[in-house]
Amino acid sequence: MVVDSFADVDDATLLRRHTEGDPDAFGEIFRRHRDRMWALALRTTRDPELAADAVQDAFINAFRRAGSFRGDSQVTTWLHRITVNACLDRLRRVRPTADIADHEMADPRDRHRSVEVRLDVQTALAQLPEGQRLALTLVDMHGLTVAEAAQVLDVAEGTIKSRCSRGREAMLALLGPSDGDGAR
Amino acid sequence: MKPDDDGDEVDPTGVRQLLRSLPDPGPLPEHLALRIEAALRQEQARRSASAVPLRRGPEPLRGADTGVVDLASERARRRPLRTVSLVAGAAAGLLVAAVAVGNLLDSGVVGGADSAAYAPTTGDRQEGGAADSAGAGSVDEGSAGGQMLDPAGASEESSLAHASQAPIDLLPHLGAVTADDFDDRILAGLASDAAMAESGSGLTAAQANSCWETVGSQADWWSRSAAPAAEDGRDVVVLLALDADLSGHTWLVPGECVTDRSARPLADAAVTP
Repeated sequence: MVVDSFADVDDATLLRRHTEGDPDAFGEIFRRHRDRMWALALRTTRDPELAADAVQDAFINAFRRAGSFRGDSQVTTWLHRITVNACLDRLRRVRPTADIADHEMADPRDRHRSVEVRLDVQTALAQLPEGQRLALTLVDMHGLTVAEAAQVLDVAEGTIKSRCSRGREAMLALLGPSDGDGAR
Repeated sequence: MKPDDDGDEVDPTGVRQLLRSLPDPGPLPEHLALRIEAALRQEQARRSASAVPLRRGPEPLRGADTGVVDLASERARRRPLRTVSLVAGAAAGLLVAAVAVGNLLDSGVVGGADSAAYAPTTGDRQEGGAADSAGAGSVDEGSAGGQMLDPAGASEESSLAHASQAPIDLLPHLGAVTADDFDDRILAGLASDAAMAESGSGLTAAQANSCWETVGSQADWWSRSAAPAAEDGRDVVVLLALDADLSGHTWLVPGECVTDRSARPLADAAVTP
């Protein structure tokens, strides 16, 4: 696979060249996005082994389904969606009852939580409902816009805003005292 | 990709900054990158061999159609192999029968039960068996060595060794199998439409990889498959490796292989095209 010849080629063009039969184009897409998708998979599954399988699933699926990319979004948004789906698929194989529904967690301002519990950021993030955690991962950690995150998770933009807002509030409550000092 | 530019995304809590300050998980591990590149190369080879153009069309980004595996295209991708496998299996059966009958006629034994009459054929099979035994010996050596080596190091080395191998196709449960028919059963499973049933395999890729470790096969197979099954009431896993000419090998391994890489194969058999 030749790397240099693709230096000035954008992702969408690479994907198009791949669908037209260029045997090297997808390899360049993999090289460009593999670290980012790995980070996303790790943050989504919180399990290196599941993340490894999910990233492989995601790139194989993207390879096969490149023809379905219409160009309405950025290639990286499309890859985020495929990777998140691969992660959720892997997670549901080991936890069939897992649900992305934005169900409420226990009241984060519960006295015992607010006074007693001071969790580190990662642990606090892991405490959130999956929908809120995914929204925060995409928007706050991966820098996607609300619109892009909405595309990735296939929900309305308002849902992403709501999940982010509630997720941040819950994080704040988990991380700090209940008197609203803000995040540490 | 600039949330700060998104006017609606104001964060008075400071949590966003906190999340952004978390350390990056780091790059994709090299052995995993190699594994995925090998899988992509295999996809490319299959694509080139089949000359089937990638699906095009106005499929929306939204919706479930961007799920992990497109079963329809998967079926289309696999059917040629299944068909060829079935034909090859039938041809192999005919060939064995023809050779056996020929040997009977050549040796003048007709209808007798003298096993010497089968010597040439069984000799061939014994050669295969010897090779198999050598393979089993390799497993033994690997197991013995594994006891002396740092397990983590051995695992890493093993992962690297597998990096260039074909990804494992996970097949549905084969039902009850025996040591005599597990090879036929997995070939039939591979050829069956049910192989792509949405119910899935019951094995994860990691579990299948673990089971492959137990057979110690480092050959660069064209295709690898794994299927859960039951033998005499216990869980087993049947592994199948094929080369491009549809020759290959199958193994029957105990179900513990999904977590115990030192599990020993219960039986194995060569697959002839």
